[in-house]
Amino acid sequence: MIFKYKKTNPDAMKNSGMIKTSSNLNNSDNASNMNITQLNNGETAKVVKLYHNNKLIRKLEAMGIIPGTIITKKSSLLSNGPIIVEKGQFQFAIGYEMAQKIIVVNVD
Amino acid sequence: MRKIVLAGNPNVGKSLLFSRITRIKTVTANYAGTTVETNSGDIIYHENEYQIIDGPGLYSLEEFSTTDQIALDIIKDSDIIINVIDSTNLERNLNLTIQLLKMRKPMIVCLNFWEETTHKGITIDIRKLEQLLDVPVIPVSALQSTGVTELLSSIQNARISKLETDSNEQWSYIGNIINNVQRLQHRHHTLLERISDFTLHPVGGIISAIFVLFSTLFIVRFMGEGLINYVFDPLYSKLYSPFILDLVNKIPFDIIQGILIGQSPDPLQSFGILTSGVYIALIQVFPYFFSFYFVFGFLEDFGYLPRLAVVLDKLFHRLGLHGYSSIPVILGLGCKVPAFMATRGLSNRREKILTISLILMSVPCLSQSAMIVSLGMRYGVLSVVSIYVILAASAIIFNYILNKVYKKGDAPEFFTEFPSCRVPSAKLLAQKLRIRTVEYFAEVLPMIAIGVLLMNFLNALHILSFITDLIKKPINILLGLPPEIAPVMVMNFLRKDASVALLVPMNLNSHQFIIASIFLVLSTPCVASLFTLIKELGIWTALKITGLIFFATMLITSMLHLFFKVIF
Repeated sequence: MIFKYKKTNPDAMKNSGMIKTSSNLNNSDNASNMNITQLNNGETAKVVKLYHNNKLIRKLEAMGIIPGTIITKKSSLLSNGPIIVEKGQFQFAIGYEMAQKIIVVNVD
Repeated sequence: MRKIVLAGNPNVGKSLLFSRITRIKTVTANYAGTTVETNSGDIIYHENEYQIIDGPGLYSLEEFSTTDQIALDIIKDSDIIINVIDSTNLERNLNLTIQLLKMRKPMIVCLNFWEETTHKGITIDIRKLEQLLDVPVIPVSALQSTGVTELLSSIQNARISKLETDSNEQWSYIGNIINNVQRLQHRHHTLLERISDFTLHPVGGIISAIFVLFSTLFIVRFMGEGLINYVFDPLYSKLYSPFILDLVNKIPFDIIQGILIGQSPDPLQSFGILTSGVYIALIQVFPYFFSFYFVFGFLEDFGYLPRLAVVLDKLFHRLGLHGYSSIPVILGLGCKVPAFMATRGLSNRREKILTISLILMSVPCLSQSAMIVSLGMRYGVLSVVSIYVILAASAIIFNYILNKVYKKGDAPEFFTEFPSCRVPSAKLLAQKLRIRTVEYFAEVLPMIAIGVLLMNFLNALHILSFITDLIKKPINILLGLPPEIAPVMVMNFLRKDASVALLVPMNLNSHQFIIASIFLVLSTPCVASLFTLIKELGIWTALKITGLIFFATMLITSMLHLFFKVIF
């Protein structure tokens, strides 16, 4: 599924490397940034960014899934099925496409 | 009279707390989204009158859905806020708390599920929390009914908080509160937590789903049949029937007799309200309705349903739906009446309509299924299996087409929260069952009576026999079925399982049985489900869907007939 942005999102474009800024010219961290679907089951990670263009993402933010939060990917169901995520006591599942909008970085 | 609103995240126990405070019984369950309408009740406490209002839960005052808007309006409209919090999920709940505090209304915070904090090794410093939030904080266990009196007596102390935070820094402020107030102890996973993890595991989830589905069907069938054979049927034939026939026969007017008890002593053929109507509603449909809600209530309170929705989500995606639609469809395996009622929880109309068509097309209700399987076995397993395969295939194709035609609006993305698995309280289960039973008698029973009355009129006016004669020839040509089947098809509207039983004396061959069964399953919904459908979707949509499905049924059965003719 292709992400369709309703308006140009310069942050996202900078992060994806499409616009070169001083931060990402030198920043090789972008290569290690990944989204939740790319984590292994049981891996813990820190949320780096959420792509904002969606009601659900904003709802997740209201629940405390924001940059800086530590989350664990509990499991994923079949190929491209929903991803189950855990934050402290709070467990929830989101669709695969949504999960791709949550950018994380490994903490271990 | 001051208005007090119970505000909080979904699934924190607001409705149960509402029940405890007002003594008004409501349906509660262990998953988010149980409450979709508002409930209110008046109480008097220490000579003060209050109106307590319960509504849907919300995560934030920013509106995300129509139910959120409802909740928001109730809160804005209230005089006092009781913010109900899940003590085992303090951090997430505090987001709404701080937003509510900023509304500058008198407020109390209620720490619900307090009894679970000890099990989970969570300690919360209440005094500290009160200081930081600047409102009273009261621990409560709605489940165990403790702390409710303390909560009520603290209403007079509800205060407008002077808390100031910068919205941008809100989460770090919350983190700060948590650090000051909450201590977590490491402890071993309980059995419930282990079960919960298993149901969320990719393979474990599928195994649990299969296990739950099969046991549900088994239990419901067992209970339903047991209730019918050992309780309701004997009650009807030995007590009720002779009594009512006797009573009505005393009425001197033939016409009234005809309406009330119909022409023949057999309740299946009489079309009398007090005979057929009561028989269908009470003896045949209700036991399954009851048994299903018995098992379903348990699954609800245990917290299993969101887990099932996740496992089935991928599958339902192909049908343009989400995992949450699986719940009504599962219900539909038992009886379509609760299945249709369960679609109320779905987020938009499109999902509702698609789910309902799926329910109507895919499987026969349990009583009809039981008949098909037991009678079909004489034709061999292959015949029975092919019936279900054809039904499943037609349902998928029909839904696929409907999906294409009925364009997606803004399809809600899949999200579900997993509540902790909890051992259901027998008392609450019984209470829920009672509420649903009362609902059945108040809503479904009258509908069935009306349906029977209608059939009675049509019969008396000889319209029924007219229709029957009319369709005999076409049925024979198109479907290859004998003309005797025509009255059975008309009868199908009233009694879906009896109609299958009536196929027996016709000595059909296996192809005819397959075609006849599929026709009887799909052609019309039974009277109870039709009226429930009308109630859920409104009469025009209901008739449109029914008409569409009837047309599809004719198509499918005619094609099957052609197929059999050509191949065999």
